[in-house]
Amino acid sequence: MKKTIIGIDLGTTNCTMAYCFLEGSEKEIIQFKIPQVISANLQDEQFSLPSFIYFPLKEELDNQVSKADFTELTNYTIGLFAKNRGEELPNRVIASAKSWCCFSGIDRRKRFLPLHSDEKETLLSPLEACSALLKHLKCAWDFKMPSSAFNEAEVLITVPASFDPSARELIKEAAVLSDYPEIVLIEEPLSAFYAWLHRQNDNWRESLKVNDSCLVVDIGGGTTDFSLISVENENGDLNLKRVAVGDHLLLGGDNIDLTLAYFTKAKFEEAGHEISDIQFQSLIHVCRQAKEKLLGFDPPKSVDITLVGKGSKLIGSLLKTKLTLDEVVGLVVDGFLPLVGMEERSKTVSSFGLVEIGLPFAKDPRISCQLAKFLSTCGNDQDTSGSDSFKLPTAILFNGGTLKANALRDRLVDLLNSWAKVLNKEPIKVLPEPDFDNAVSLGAVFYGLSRHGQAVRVKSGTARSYYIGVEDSAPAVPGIAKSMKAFCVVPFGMEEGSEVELSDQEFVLAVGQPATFRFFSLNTKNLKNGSTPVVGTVVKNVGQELNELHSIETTLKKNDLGRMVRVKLKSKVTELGFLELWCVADENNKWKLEFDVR
Amino acid sequence: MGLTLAFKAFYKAWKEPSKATKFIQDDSKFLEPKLLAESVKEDPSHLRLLALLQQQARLIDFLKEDISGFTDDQIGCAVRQIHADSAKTIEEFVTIRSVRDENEGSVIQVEKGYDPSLIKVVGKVSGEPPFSGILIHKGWKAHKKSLPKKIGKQMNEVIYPAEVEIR
Repeated sequence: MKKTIIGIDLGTTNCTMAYCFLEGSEKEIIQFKIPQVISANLQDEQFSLPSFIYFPLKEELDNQVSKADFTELTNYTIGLFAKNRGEELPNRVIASAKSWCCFSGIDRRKRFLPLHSDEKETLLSPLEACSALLKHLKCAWDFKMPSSAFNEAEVLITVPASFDPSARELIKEAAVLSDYPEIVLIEEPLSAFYAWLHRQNDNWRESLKVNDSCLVVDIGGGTTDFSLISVENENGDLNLKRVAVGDHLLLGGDNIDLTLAYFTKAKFEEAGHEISDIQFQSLIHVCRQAKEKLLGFDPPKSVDITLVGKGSKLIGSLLKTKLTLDEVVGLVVDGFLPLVGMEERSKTVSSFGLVEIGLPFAKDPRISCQLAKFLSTCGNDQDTSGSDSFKLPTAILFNGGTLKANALRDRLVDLLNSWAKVLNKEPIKVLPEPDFDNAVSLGAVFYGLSRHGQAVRVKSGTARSYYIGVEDSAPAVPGIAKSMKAFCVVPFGMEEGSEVELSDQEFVLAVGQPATFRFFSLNTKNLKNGSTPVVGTVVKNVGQELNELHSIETTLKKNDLGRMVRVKLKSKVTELGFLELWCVADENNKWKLEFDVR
Repeated sequence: MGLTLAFKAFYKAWKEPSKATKFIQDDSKFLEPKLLAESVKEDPSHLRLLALLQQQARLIDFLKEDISGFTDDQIGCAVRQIHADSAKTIEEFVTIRSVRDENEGSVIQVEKGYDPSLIKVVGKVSGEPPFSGILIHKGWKAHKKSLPKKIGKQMNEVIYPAEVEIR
């Protein structure tokens, strides 16, 4: 039995860590202060570790400007200093390592980060970058808590709800690279919900009743995630079930700060001042402070934006303008969270033929429309409103640093209530969350306790259904590629620790030679014709119905059964939150298909 | 120089013969105080706090600038930002709270055996505590006793490095 549970929020912009000792009756969950280099030549500890990796200049390395005293000697540094220095030298810093890890448009094992670096020999892959962050957390723990080794703890890592199986495998691989013990994965919004459950001390049944559903909105620095949790009646008992998750949107508080910075920059330029790139970085900071005041509790009518020169002459070079409450509400609240009808949904726009290499940032910044789109995929047949399956939640739980702003939370509630009014439903209930920054890591620890039967469990099946592409057996026709159909191998909502088999269908598996496997997923519960796919369901219109995941090219090991083997497909969702797909000929002859190449 | 010093020493010995005798008898003892003073360890923590205040609030830039030529408006405008940033830095690294929670102007009791580093009694004091008096200033107390750890080989006396933009 493990003695410690450690929960890690491996965030796109900030990491946090919480823990709990299993010995003793009082199982208190404690937030871990993470030691890190906070500025040149200074080491301190803070609750959050900015997820930035900075590669110091040679002279900085020689003088050990940023070598924390508990990490191994590396050519990079992680944390607050990395974040701040990275603004001054943007080509030497890796940001959003986690988002790169779940971006299927690139080879995540290829070393290309920082993106525009000149120093090819120091590049890291998205996988290595995530591993570096995890390594820092592990070293920090072992440095501060020598009496309870990290490797003997149960470690839980949170991932965005929409992480596909290959991205999950990648996080596991990153953990292995950093000498982690076996890890357990949990979805971030679900983790935030666990944090709320933890604070309810077993009294959650007073807030949530049968048929209630809770929307978790998690808006962090760079990302937005939605999940829906419903309360179901199972033989008289209240059961919690995570029923839907949204896409991982690269849209968050940083977009808001940037919007305000561009707006004030234009104001300065109108007044005849030029704003340099370096000054623009300070402007983003000043705008962030102004945003916190203007969107916070009891906001002033306006906030002065002062920009001091970079030289030592401060007052002589001072530029000043104002940011008013109306402007910020117009730009931020109406810009990112407009009051729209529930039919106004973000479109799935096809990409440009050619785009610059970079992260797939959300194209529609209107979080309201992204939310409408998400809720339109949540309902099932009984509670649909109108023609589609739009589902309005009855409660909302906020998470993520960006939602510390009162005005944004109020607007989200107003938005949902306006939809409730149209649908003739009760106004939405807000579940209280006191700590928007740390809830995710705290919740991960509580989930760890729940896995030991010491806390309530939220059932969470797979949030997608998964398919494997199979070539049709048909006569060859010159000039036409052989057609393909997809078999459902993992149904929607398949729970952790369960296994399914396509028992009445056999396939021919090519072994001992290079072969390509194609995988697909479906974000919604139902197909376009309204039917719910089960194991073995065949989808013919693959292009129209499903999203293609990473295809893999691999050579499966040949054995004495020959090069073409008759197999059955079996899939498994492990207790640790990973998905496995097996081709089984018999007990002794089976092949595991990895969702990602190794 | 040598000659002047010798004359000075001669004059001093003539005025204070006891010291001169001591000097001749045991010069090592005589040198001791000076050696001690030299071996007092350098404590640059004040410089590190100033470095933090400069880094995060540009406080040294402000204090070093000649402000006589600026209008109160210009200064006021700069001070708001410096004040906010300095306050944040001080909160983070020193965390200052008042010694007493009562409102200034209210009557408080000073107990017998009070700690004079926490309370300073002023006015007409007679007899033994307990005293009853009006709280004039609520006092300040730091709640963080040390600055973050210094790492690497940076020179202590650098408060802010010269910044050079490479184009």
